[in-house]
Amino acid sequence: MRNAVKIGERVWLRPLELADARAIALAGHVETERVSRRVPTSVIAFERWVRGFATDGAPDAIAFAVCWHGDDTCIGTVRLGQIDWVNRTAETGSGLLSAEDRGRGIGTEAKHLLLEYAFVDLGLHALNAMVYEGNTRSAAALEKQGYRLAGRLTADVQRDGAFRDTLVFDLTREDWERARERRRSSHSDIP
Amino acid sequence: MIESGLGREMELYHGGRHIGSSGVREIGMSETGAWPVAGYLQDGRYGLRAPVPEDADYVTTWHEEPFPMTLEAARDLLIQQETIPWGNNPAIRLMIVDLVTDAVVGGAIVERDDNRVSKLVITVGGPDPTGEAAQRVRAAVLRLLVPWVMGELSLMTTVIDVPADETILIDAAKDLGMVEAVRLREHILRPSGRVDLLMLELVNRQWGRSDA
Repeated sequence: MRNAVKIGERVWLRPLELADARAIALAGHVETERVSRRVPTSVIAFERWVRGFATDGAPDAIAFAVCWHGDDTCIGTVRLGQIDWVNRTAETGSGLLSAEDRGRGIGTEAKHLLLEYAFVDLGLHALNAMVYEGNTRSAAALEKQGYRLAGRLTADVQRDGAFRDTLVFDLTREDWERARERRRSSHSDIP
Repeated sequence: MIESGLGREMELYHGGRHIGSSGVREIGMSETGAWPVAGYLQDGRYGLRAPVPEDADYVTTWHEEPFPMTLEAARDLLIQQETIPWGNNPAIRLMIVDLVTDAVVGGAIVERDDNRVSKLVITVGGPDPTGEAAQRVRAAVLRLLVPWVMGELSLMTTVIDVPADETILIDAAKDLGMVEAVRLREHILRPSGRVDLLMLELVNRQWGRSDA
């Protein structure tokens, strides 16, 4: 596990590398689900995106590659964006590249590693996340991770010719600590 | 035509000081600034205008981030963000001018997405940028921006983020018909503790209707 930042039971996180741009761009071409708007995007664009995370100072966004144990291939990403170092808040995001990996708890495990990084390593105080109201799987996953519905932005996105709301969730450090305790008590093998 | 309008305004400008045809400074013109405020975005006390590179000198009042910025970086920011003319830039940055003192006292940004939804950011500098005086300026600017954004820019929704303890600004937003759409718990850090961050929203329910 080269350059591992967080290690879970089945997956681990590492910083994104330029070489990951190819896997991410390819996934955008073979995506089978319509969870979000699909747009074929170039490797060039994703390389630029990955380069944007390299900074000497405090960044306003951080992204990690999600990898299976025993492999360093990027199977998805977990991200912190809009990092506010004064108020110690950020927006979270995550996604698995292949539909086959979704629904198996991998995304949730990777997300828990990201939350630990955000609250423990960075000392952030509160996080937020946004999902399109039709994305019931992501909304349910957020609630399972301890997030609470904070409200909705009316007609924020357009899908299939209709305006849809964006659901906004928040998660305080206290929420996360409670959710982590619940997970630990139900899974005695979680450290 | 916009060009001829600007031409007339430029004629009225002389040596950085605006002198109207009557020799009296007209409302909405800045004496020390390099450009007039827009006649349709001023209330007699505060006005909004497009930025000029010289506004870099006042970056501490208009820049939305609390981190320091050099004059060169501020000038580059003002120049580089102006990528599309004719008001079609997705993000419209404006300077807030105090029409009594002619000073640039803050900045506003209208961020547009798909020419349909928008977000407003209003910043006021000074020793206490979240205090009552600054809130009153931001409230005045909000009253200028919201009717313009919804009416003249024809946007469907607009949102502004406001800390829950900034009651003057919240009251102004509610007077304009904005409602609390989202409450992010403990997202703002104050010396006295944490407060929630509200996302106040206004939706034009008539948007897109042919009979509107």
